[in-house]
Amino acid sequence: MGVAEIYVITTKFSIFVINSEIVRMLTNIEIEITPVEELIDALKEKIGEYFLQDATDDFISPYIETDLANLVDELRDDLYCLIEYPYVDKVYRDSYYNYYSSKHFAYKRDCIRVSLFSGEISHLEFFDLQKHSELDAKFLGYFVIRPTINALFGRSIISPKAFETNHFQICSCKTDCLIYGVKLGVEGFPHSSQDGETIKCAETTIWALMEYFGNKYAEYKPALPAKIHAALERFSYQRQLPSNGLTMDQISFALKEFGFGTSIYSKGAYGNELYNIIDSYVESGIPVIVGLQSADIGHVIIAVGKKFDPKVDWSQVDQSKIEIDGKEIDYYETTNIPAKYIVQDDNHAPYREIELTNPGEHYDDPDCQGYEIDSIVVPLYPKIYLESFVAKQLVLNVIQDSNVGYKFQDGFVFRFFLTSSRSFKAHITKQSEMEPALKNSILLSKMPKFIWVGEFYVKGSFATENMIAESIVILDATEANQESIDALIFAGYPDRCISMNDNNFVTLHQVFQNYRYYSNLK
Amino acid sequence: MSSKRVKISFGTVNEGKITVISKSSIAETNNRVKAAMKDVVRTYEKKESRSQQEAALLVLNA
Repeated sequence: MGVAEIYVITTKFSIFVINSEIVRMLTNIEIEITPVEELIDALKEKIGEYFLQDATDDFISPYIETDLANLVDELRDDLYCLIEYPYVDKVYRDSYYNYYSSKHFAYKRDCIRVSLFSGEISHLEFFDLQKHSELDAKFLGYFVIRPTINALFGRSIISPKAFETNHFQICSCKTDCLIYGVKLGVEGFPHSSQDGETIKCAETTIWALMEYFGNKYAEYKPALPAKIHAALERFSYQRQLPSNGLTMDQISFALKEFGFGTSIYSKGAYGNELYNIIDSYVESGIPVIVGLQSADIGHVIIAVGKKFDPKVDWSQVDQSKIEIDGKEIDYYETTNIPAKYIVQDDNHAPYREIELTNPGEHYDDPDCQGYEIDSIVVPLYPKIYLESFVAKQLVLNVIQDSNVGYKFQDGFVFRFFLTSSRSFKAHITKQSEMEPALKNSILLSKMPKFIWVGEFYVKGSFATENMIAESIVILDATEANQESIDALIFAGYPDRCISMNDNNFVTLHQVFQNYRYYSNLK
Repeated sequence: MSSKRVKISFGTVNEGKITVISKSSIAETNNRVKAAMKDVVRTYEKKESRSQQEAALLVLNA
């Protein structure tokens, strides 16, 4: 290993005397650039210097190193890090002003921020305008170290590219950060560990979700811990701080207060169908709040993505049955294809892979290893009146019909998801091999803000690169009449298409072809 | 000077290439779908209410 490439830019303290006590105040920001292999040592020094001011290295608990290693060990080896202190973190400051500052023990109010870059960086690059786009390309996000020693990791938004294991797709939002005076952008899903006092897993989950939606859509705003507690005030019958956690329906209530039309699904009610529901929402690019329960503990995580296996072993996939044209045939639902899901768990580093049937697989504690999914809360746009369970059955009923359906062959593959019509139409315009007439028919169809889409594949063509669907059925997700085909907007089959014209259902004399797999995940 | 205006609509794009599905066929489809979906909706409503009750029992504080 070569000589450590660490740059410490500046530090300056001012000494004030207030009521005969010496108060040391940091008046400048200290920046340090280090390769990731030396990050833990650098952070231990900083924690010792700023958060445990009178302690030496010997006093720093080994738990701190273990805690830091939980995240740092998951990162790629070639990263460079920019450490800055003091950093004003809005989430910790909110907890500090509303809780920590009221305690007898003196807590620091500033945090340490660590920014991650792919490859070596120099502080001189930040002063060179020509290098800013290069820095932006190298920037992979940041994480915050809080002065709460028992719960160091504060908020973070880190690109999956910063991790050793990153062959998965997630719902991601883009956010800008000002690092050393330069505005840099990163795409990822927000994460934070709980501090155990102002935010436990439930509040952290609500915060991460609001941070995601607030960064992504103008309709929503990020919510700091105090705002989350305020939203739940009339649902609380005892003190809210220190936090005792929340129930799953309280999470749903808080999200409803923040503008969502939430749906709750429990394992008791849906059985294993719940896994299919989680899959279809994750495939839709909607993060799902997943409540876990073991014998003694309840916990909550967010399912934010999925790891796709390029090769499907169909012998491992449960088949479903459907009656078409008086004949019962088998088909496959993509939700039944075994997969790993990507979750944000506030007890672990970001983007852990789990199986839905074994969500406690990353825990050492036997109680936590026994976690099972108990229920989920899905944060939906409030005007989505047609929900997943019913919408899926409606799509299957449409294809069974002799007037608006199609005689699918045995063994077809069915994929089902929710999306915005804007994103879907943008996808249609990118289908370079699709006939212009077919493109026009879809693009000129009037659609609501959100639609349910069923994609149908021939088994052999599924799971190939950039796969082509045989058919699609599009439903209006804002249609509350669930017992008719009023929700049907468009159906495309290999022999014809069905659409609406002047309030009539019409058959278009054009075949549906050259439509490729649509994904809301990145 | 000739106009450069171009009108593109569902009607102009598909002129002569569409057949209206008769009202009676759609009514027949709706009846069939209604019968099939009745149980689905009833099941969903029961599951929705059970889900809400069960979600109230799960305390998340790990």
